[in-house]
Amino acid sequence: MLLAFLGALYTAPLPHDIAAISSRRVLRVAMLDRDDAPYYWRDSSGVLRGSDVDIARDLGRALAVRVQFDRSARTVDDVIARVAAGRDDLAISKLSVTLNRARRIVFSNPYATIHQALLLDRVAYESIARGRRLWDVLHDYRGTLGTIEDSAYGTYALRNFPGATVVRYASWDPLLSALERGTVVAAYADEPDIEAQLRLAPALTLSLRLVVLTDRQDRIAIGVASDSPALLALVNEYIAERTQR
Amino acid sequence: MKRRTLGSIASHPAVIVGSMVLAVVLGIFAKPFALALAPLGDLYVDLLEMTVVPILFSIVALSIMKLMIAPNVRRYAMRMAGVVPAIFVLMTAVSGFVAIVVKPGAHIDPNARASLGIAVSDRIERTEIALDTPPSPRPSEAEQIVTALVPQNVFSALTSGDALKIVFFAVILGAALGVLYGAHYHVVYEFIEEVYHAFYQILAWVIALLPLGLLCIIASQTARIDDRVFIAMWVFVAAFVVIAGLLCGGAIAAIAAIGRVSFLQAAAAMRPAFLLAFFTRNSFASIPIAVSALHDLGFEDDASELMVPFAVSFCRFANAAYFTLAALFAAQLYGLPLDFGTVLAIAALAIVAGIASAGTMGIASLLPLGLVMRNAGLPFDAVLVLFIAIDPVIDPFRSMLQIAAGAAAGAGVAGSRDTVAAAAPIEPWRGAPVQ
Repeated sequence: MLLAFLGALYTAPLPHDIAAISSRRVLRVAMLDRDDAPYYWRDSSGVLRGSDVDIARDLGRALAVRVQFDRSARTVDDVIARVAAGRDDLAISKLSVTLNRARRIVFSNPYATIHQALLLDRVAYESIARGRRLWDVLHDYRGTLGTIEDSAYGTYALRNFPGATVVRYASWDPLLSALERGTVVAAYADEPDIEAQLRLAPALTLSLRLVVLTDRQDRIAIGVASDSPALLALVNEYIAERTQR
Repeated sequence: MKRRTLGSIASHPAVIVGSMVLAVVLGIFAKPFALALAPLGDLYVDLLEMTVVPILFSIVALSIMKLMIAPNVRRYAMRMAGVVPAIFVLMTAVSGFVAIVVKPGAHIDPNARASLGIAVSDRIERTEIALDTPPSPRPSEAEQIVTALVPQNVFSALTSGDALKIVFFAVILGAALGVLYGAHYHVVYEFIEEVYHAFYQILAWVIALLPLGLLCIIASQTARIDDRVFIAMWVFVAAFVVIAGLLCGGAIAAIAAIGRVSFLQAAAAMRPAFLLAFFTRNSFASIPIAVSALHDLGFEDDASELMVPFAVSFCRFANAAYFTLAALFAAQLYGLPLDFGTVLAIAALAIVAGIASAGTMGIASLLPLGLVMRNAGLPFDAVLVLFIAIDPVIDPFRSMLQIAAGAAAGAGVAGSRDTVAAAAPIEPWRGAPVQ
């Protein structure tokens, strides 16, 4: 009798959000359907790899369930919407924390912090700089700024470069062409992303200049539905342990 | 004695060329050994550079002093005022012409661009900026010029090796001493002259080790060379070699014409100076040889002793030529249109930048190029990396061109001994009053 009572205490019920995942036996992770190394990408044999993928699998292990990657989302908004609607449990997709996105889901603590950066076309920059120092040009920047459509940088531009004319591009290829033609003077994105583009096409370094904004961070976090506080706490605990390692 | 020591090394180019060839072979086929020689090469360069500040200072101070106390100051000054700008204009004109005809920056194919891009990204410094932290306020252009030129503390300027400040100080001191030169003020003049001779003796000793020094420098540089950059920029390098060749030939022709000797005679007389400047990548080292070559060709001594050191150290003709080519190369590389006005502006800026590079040597002398490029709307950071990478090959030609132009300037101011009525020579003070 006593043993049964004690036994009952040790099998206290799980919080409802984690319980749902446990009973389902699968952790559903919303992830964009593109490749974004080193966060997530499909290698040559079709295997999904990357640091975001590793995080998802670690969380699956922590919850003792298997992980299912839902790649149906085409845009970041889709990813967020799927989690907000409860169709997926977590959004892990190199997501930048923005106020707008935080309205619809809850963000974990950041698991990566990268610098925001600009990619300036050297020649176009000289003509707008007219001998002024870089800081003076950027501080009240009124030139053109190219951003990738489905990124947080359109939002960041409104805050950090309010006087700039922001032009959105679907992906890096059109943005780089625009830089080359002089349609935009600068591209605004995160530092690793820009460095990856420069590595892909080294000739670009001759004409494009990377400027890292040391006091502007792009925080990368995991998205959780607003009604999943225990799951959020678990994710934050995992992130804390991960950063300690 | 000192002349012979310096000259004898340079007139046996076989030894030097042999060590250079060996160095290149080592650099290509025995890379680890060649790289291990790098510290010795650096040591040799340091020894050469060790003599630069005292020689630069004493040369400029002495030249100015001689100018002030020379009986025909006016004639010299007027000739200098004519010769120096003329040479600068000729330098930039030839360089600009070759640059426009050859178009070194326009023939870079995509593969070469990729190589250059990789080279730049390997070496360029990251630009980091904090949007919320304004940098310290920049002084105005005028303030910047004054700060660059006028030393706050002459002794710290001498120890800092800041060539522009040293030259400025030397000019002012030379002028003051020149004015005071007389019964009671000559000791410092002689002191500076002895410093000059002493450091040339030291330089002669260092140059005695030239074959060994060059071996170490060139082997380690060859081992470290990024051949992709050279291959991509070979047209540029070739263009400058052509420019240097044309202008050196022109200098010899001018010397021959003014001195009324044959071209071959002038060339033979100037050859040791040219070779020494080429091999040591140092135009200072060749100054005494160039002066004695002019003497042998019959030029007036005082004027050439005054003019050649001043021209070589202060009037950076070769840099003006190089900056013109470099800026036009960059304009072609970045696809910027080059109308006549832009080319003229670049040439004028190159002359100013050439003067601003007074006294500098090696890679430091590339920095004033930024002045030219920024004012022409050309991005400087990326191409500077490329120019630094190819400087080991360009520097010898630049140094040789500088001594050639300096010697030609000396010839232009001096005139032949036969045709000029010899004025009273500048005597070291021996108690006789100077008129």
